[in-house]
Amino acid sequence: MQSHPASDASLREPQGSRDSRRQPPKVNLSGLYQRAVKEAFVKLDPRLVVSNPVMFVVWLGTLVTLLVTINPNLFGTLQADTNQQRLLNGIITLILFFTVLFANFAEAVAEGRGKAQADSLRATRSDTIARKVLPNGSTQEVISTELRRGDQVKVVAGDMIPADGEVVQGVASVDESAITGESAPVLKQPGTDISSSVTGGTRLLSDELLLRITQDPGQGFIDRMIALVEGAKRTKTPNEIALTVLLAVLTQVFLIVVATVPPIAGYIASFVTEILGSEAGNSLRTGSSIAILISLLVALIPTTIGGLLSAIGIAGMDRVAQFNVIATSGRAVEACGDVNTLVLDKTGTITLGNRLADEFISTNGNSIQEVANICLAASIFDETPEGRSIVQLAEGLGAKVSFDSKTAEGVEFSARTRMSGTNVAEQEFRKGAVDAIKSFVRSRGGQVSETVDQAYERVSRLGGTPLAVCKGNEIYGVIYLKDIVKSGLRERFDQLRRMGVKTIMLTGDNSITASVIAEEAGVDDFIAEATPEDKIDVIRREQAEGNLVAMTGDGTNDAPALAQANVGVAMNSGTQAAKEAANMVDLDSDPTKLIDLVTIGKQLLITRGALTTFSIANDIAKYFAIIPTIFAAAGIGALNIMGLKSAQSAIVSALIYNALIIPALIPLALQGVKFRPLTADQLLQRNILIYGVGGIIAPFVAIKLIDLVLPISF
Amino acid sequence: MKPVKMKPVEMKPVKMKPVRAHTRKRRLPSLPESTAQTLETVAELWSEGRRQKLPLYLFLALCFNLVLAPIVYAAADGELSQTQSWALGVLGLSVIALSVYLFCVMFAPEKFS
Amino acid sequence: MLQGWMQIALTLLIVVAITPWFGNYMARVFQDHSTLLDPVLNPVERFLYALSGVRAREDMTGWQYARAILYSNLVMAVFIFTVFMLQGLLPFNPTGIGAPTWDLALHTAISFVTNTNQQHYSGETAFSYFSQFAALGFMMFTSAATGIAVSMAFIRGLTGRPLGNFYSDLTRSITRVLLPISIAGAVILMAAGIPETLAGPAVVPTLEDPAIRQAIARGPVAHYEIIKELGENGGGFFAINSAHPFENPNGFTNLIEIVALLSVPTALIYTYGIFANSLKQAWLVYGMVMAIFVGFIIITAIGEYQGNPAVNTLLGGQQPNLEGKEIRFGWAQSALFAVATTGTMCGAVNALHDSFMPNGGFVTLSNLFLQIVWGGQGTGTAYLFTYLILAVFVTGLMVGRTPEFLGRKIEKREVVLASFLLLLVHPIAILIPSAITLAVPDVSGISNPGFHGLSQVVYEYASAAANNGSGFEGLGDATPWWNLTASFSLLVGRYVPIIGLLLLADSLSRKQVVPMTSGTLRTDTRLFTGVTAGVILILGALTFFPVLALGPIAEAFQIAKGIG
Repeated sequence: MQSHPASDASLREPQGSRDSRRQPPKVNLSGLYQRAVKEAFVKLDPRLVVSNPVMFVVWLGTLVTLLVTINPNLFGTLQADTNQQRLLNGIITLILFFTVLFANFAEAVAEGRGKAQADSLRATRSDTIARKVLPNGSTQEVISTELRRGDQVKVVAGDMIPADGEVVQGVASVDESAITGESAPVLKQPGTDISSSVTGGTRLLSDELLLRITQDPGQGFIDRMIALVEGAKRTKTPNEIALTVLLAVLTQVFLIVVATVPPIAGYIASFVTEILGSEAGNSLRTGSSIAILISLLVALIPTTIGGLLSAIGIAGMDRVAQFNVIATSGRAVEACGDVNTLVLDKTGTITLGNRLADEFISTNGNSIQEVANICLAASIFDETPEGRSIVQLAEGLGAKVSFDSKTAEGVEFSARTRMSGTNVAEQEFRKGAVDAIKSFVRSRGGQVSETVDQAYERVSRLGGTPLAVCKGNEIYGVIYLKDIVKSGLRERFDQLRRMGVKTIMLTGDNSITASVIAEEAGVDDFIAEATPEDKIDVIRREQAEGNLVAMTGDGTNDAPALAQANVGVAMNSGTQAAKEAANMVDLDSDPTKLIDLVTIGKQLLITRGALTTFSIANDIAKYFAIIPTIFAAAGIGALNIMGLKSAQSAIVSALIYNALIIPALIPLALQGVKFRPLTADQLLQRNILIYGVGGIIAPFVAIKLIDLVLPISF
Repeated sequence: MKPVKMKPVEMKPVKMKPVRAHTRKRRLPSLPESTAQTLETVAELWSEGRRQKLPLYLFLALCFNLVLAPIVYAAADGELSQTQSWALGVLGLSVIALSVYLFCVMFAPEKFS
Repeated sequence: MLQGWMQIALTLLIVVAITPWFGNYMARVFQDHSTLLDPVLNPVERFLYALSGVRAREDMTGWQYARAILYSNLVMAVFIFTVFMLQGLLPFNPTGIGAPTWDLALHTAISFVTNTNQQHYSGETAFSYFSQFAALGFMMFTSAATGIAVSMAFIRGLTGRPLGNFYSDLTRSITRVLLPISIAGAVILMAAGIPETLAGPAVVPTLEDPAIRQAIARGPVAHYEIIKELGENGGGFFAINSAHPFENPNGFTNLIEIVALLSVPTALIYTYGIFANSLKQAWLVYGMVMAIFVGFIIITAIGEYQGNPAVNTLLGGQQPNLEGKEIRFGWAQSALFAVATTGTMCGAVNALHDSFMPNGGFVTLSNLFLQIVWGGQGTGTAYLFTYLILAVFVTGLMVGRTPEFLGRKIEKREVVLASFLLLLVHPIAILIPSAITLAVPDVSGISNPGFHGLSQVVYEYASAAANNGSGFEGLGDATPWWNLTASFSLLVGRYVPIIGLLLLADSLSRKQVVPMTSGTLRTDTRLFTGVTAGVILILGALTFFPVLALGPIAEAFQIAKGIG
């Protein structure tokens, strides 16, 4: 039963907690902030700002306040000290300018981190000398960038692999730590789906390989990863677009609100002048001067989320990258949060990749010793971990082979026969799936006793995989191959369930075995005796019910399913076809990571929602700071519940708060809101309390404090 | 998952069009160098003006403001000077332009990414 | 004082009591279940459909539905405009009233076709009986039925059904809901003392001096009165509307009228609950709106009860503010009527809103701005659930999923429609014309300058945009300026949202339903209902904070300080 790439799996079995396992490539973050500051100024280019409606309004506002700083009476003569007006307008201009700058800075920092990540990947990209194999068999040294798809190259121990390719010949171990951070070397050999593909930039540790290049230069896997991480191809995700619409609508609403203030205030001012005298009227007119109206507009439009929206998106991609997963688009990361069905392969994801022989069960009344002898005989050529564990168990029972192994010949496992074994002279030792062995025995004229079925059932009930062993036409016994469920999975599936994510396990095992493993691992549903076609059927069925499905896969026959799934995560060890079809690639080839991806996706959405709510909730305080103070002459001073010193001080305080909240929230935007595996209702309650109620209260406190500290008195 | 194709941003960087300028130059070989250069520049400006809509709109807005400013001046009943009326007219037009821009973002947000 | 509060509480209790019955009845009508009146009405409807060639069973898409509304309303508007202009030649005109000015006729036609019934005229002197019952009375049924049809299409779309057929919904709204209740109601109102006659004004000798004779206007009022309230129309037969003793003679008719005007929008929430199979959510939303409603009543009633401090000083003691009120209704029923009529976009009035204390001005204006404190006939309910959608979008991301409402994902298209029609239509239709009116000299016709004058102007446009139709009054509004600008607000406030709502419903109805899991944001919880209230407050009301601050709030402080 060479069911899985044993060599590969045994070398990189995820063990221990994720944190101890994960060693992401070293990312050079020094100078990040200096570069971000520079970048923030570059991003002041109006052609760039125009893509962000909220910041574009602030940017234009800054321009206008700059004009009224130069000439305070540009749009109408104000009955106030021109120098004071100029000073106030200058301060407002400065704060507005910094608001735009802070927003640019947030985006630049997020991008800078992505770039740093890309640089560390690019470091592996240095041009190397490759030995190109010419059609006549001789080799020629060329620069790796000159290699084209289809070329063959020879790589020897110590060499850097020049480009993405497929192993044609040879067996060797490769250090992929440059891209995966995993220090354990990986075995590469031709023919198999999984372990035959190599990635450019990784280093060969031993032996030599003949490779066929599968990607043109600049098209390689790492090149595409670099482009994505850098954000070169970043487009807004559906959620971001919907949010942009809301922000544009809110900006439009407040633009109308503010633009209609002058006639209204003017009307009131002429009335107030009549009953209270010209001083009150002038105070109202000054209160609705252009600079103050622009301040009001900027304070009311959702600058906080407007300034941080793109940073949140970039940081989401970046967080995924830190998990050593490369997403092909922000859309894919976002979809992770929406996933409500995970389709998981049993082997390698839920259970450890390799099953180990746990027990021999005799049938037909054979002694255990005899069974052990046959098992040993059938397995001596089996190099898979399962085979070796059978040999180990048999030798532990004192089994011995009754023939010289040099005279024997191994029979390879094949998907068609579903068995492997040993031929010695006329004797045939076989082991394999029970029904396969049964038909083998029958074809040799033997009988199958009921005890075989009993043993089969027993093993299945224990959640193990039964393998029958036979010698010639007689079944001697059944091997109990035990599946080991990864530790800690049950808790994670529980968390997922609480978050509303259903897990479906796919396995080639029979349904009894599958149900036992499913029970042990705590998955919600399972598909037994599954074929690759079943995978895509399950995904289609779930999607028809309205679910978003995520799955992992590595083989070429997984590719259609990976393409069909809403989130398809290919293992880096997988074939090129699988990687092409997927929208994410896990560099660690750890299928369990799908669960983390769901968390990251949710975190991304929560962060966006939280900052939007916070930003909108802030408006109450800003309204209460600005409106009563600038229109105090209309007799609504009592609404100034914060007791702010003056209209000027209130405006400046509100704007300072408005500007400073952006850098203050950059860490939150970049790291994301801490995610807890709670139900939707609990999450809403928690986040509404923090970001909704907090968003109402925080600016009241902050604006009051700034007002107290400010030395402004006009 | 198919990546959604986004339309490229509608902002066109200012680029010279050397081909057209070159043909002009060949047709006017006898003119003095400075005149040829001037013509070249005019040709460039013309071709540029046909692609870049923004300057045209700005120009039209300023023209329209010549009509708007006197109305504002008259409505203000002597409270505003002529310059202030003109500035206010420009400001009003900018607000309307901003509003149009925001409507564009609302209905076609994909273009602004 | 206690008596007043008891009157308010009793009225509300009656409204709550009939909600489940009425809501259930409407759900049955619009789900084509059998109802009591089937034997009579089925043949009638079949005849009407055959006559007009309507294929009533054919479902419409959002655009088809919207087009059907626009075309039919256009035809009706042209019809009644023609009737107004030709009323001098038409029958049932005992007082020989001639044609109104074209702008007044246009404004009135638009105002009635949009279910607003904003009146820049006095009914008894401007329109003949024929215009009143054939044009205005006709529109009172059809415009109200249009509103109910929109809400039904919206609810169907929201709950994943096809939107239905506008002509069928329009017919059934009239034959099954409005007409039966109006007939019964008109009979009751006649019994309670409201006239129903085609005879001209009664000319009687006055009591003081029999030699002096007085003409008392009357007419076919009773049937007009009940549909005026039931259909959230609000256009009074007489100029002073439900304050007139022939429109609203006593406490009993007042009760009937308040209950009638509250009944449809309240019951439609329950109808939604049946369609969505979630009565829990229906009652929660109902509770939220009721809480805002009761809060508004209390604010208004307290202001009226405490009276005007300036007047109280003269009187030497606290007296309720009875300026502009009918003594037979007193402060409590006047306050209740004012809040109910502005909240439901009925627009009938039994007291002069202009004379309310600033509390009342604040509440009535807020009602018009929010449009969901029960809201207009049909459209109010649709707005309410659109607010829920907006709340889902704003806060729903915080549970880590693309927000969904009733299992349908809220994406760009929904956000564009919902935010546009909830947040943007109103500022465009209210603030912009208000600002222009105040900026252009000599057009406002404000009678009481200052903060109150601002309220008058804003109120007029808010009333038009919200399709309420009540007037703050005291505004010289029968001018071409007011007729035409108000017509703009009327049209924008009516048809833009209706198209938006139908497209929104259409796009929601086509969405694949995402199954409910524990990761789904539940919208039928108290928490979420509270969140929705917050979103309504912050997004819906704060937009108008500057206007409210400089209008009624400043006026309240002014009165409190005794200035002016």
